[in-house]
Amino acid sequence: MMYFKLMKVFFKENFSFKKLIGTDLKTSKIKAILIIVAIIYGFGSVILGFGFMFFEFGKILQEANMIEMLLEFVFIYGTFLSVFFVLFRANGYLFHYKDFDILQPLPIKSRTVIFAKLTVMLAFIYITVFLIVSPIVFSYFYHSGFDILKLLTIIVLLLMIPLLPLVIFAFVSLLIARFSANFRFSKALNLILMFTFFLGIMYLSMSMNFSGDSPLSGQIGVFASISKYIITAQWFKTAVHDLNLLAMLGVVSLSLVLLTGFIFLIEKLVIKTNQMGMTTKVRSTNKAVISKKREMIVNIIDKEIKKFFSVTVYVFNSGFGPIMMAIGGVAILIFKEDLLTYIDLFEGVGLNFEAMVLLLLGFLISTVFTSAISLSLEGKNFWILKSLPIKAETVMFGKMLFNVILTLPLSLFALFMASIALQFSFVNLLVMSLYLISLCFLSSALGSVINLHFPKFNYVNETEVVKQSLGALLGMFSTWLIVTVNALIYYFLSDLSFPVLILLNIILNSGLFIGVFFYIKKAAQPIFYKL
Amino acid sequence: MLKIVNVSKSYDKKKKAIDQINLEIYPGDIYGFIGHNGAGKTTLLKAIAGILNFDEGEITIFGKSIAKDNLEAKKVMAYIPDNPDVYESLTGIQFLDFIADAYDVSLEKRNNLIKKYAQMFEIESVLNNPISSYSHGMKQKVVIMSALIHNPKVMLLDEPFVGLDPKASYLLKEVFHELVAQGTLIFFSTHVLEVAEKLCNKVAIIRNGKIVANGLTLDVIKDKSLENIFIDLLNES
Repeated sequence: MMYFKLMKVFFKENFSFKKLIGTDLKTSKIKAILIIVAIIYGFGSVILGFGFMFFEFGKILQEANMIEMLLEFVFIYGTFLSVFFVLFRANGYLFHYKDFDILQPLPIKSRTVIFAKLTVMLAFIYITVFLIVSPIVFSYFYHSGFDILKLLTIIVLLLMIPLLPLVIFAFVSLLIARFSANFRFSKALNLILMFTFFLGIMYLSMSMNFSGDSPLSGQIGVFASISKYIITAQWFKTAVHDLNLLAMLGVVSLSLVLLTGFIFLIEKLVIKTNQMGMTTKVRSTNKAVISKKREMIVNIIDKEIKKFFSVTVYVFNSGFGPIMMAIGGVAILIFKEDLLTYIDLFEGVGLNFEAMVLLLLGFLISTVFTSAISLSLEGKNFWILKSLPIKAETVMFGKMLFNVILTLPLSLFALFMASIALQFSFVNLLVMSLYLISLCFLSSALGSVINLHFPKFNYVNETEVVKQSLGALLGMFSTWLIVTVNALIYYFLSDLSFPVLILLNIILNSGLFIGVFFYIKKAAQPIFYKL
Repeated sequence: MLKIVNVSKSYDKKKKAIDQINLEIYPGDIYGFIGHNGAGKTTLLKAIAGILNFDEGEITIFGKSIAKDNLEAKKVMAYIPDNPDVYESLTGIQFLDFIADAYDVSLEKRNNLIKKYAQMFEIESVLNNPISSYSHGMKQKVVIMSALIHNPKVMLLDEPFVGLDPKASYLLKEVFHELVAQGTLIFFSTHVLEVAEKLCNKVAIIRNGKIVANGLTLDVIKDKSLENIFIDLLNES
């Protein structure tokens, strides 16, 4: 059957081992193993952390005889994830797919192609939804008692949860794409939308009640009011908790009917939108063509900035740290009083808030790993840099400086704001600023070395480099490692005063930076030539 | 001059993509490089341009070794790939400036050349637009302009006529003649045998990584056509 043949190809394209881990097990076993370990670690820590929170939360709900509330969480989390995926993926998966020119001339029914495309998109959604809600489901069964029928009901209904968001938000996704294409800065618009969505979710998650027993208790009210207006959420809860067959049939039949209708409805639309293609409006100017002569390193930095803002996934993954620094910097001033109350609470524990601020900023700096992937992102354009008479070290330093530009100003801004709110002494502020400078430079330089040794030039889209390459992973880990070493020095030599301890770390980071800097200077050219 | 001595390169350490290549190309030459798909044309061009390293041999550009004196050798050279993959986030003029800065071309000189070639290839009106909005042919024209912006002594081109409209192809051939008159040497690969026959004073034919014929075009083809020679040489294998 053609549907299964298409599925085989699409799944190979989207879920192949090489695609998922970003490297080939046959050609580089160590790389592949390292990535697999890191992925397991990453997922494991998220699931375990999430799991622990919901386990404790489930205990509280069970004591209050409200354990079924967890099912509302399952439904809302599943729905939100589905909305997110559909909103950002449906346009590319359905309405403007890249292989339209290959598939359309083939003697295959459009409906079959659409259904296959939908299946692949749904597979992505199902994997994510099942992974994220599994700790909640575990908590539910642990505290309310395991029941195989309930488990089967949950599995069946989890397969239905993404269908309603799919039907509604696929059109929203198309509308956003077509609307933003009318603007010159359509990418910026998409970025703002993505960040707003994420920050909205974060705000929702942060609507915690710290005075309660669980940070999740603050969400009960919000979720309960959402569920009140969504009939399927109530059916979902009743179908699982009370094993109500009618409610289950309600969810299943409604979802399947809507999906079928959706496929029939969008068939012509999918063909039309794909035929139209996606071209962003370019404003033609009568401006005279003006040349500018600049230093090569300035050119490289400028090119990096333009590349950064032209790839949504790049900004979204590496730009979250700076945005959080900016938001955090402002928020710390606004919520100064609340913060000072918490500081009073922790005063007796002996926590140093200057060190905590540095640790937090260190973590945010580690999320900005552009220097560890920007060489890889040259991809098919790498021939340009290789064929030009530009020193490899100039290219690498340009990429490194771009990373510093992204991290340093905003981390210093956040630090100054924190110092105003928390009244750090001048000496402390000075050493903390120097520490951030040393960390930003070292982190960027380490990223450059990592990318020189672990480049990935063959990729279909940038996501493979930004999210799945070894460079990205090591880039983030290397900064964590430095921050951990700095923290250990702080911990083991805690008899020394704060400025002295930070100075020791500055000396260590600066020494390491000088070493790495000269390594790049010496090794970049020969490595470049072999790449 | 461009001198290639005993150059070999293998991607998998088993089969040689180019095997013991020897060629000498002099200023004023338009040297055509012909071969079947996968024969090793792009590999050799990339090796000369300093994009790919090679396992054996030596490539010198006006006495500078591309392996040992990489930057100096590149300063007199321009390379145009078979596919115009360029920085799509830049505008046409930003890309040209980037390349001109790499070769340290003065503002006056670059302005003159950009004006001249932009008019010639009829892309003046789009130079302020992002390259991502260009068609394949327009991108190709920008890449060609970027190669001409520093008056190179050596021009390496990989299938330069693919994707160009007839007028642009004609203009590019005119540019070739203009450059060789100034002493530039041009080495380009092509599948279009007629172009090679009419345009090149010298040709080399590569088969499975080895040069099987090279020299003056007239000497290579004698009383036959280049197409017949090419097919005969392929059939010999």
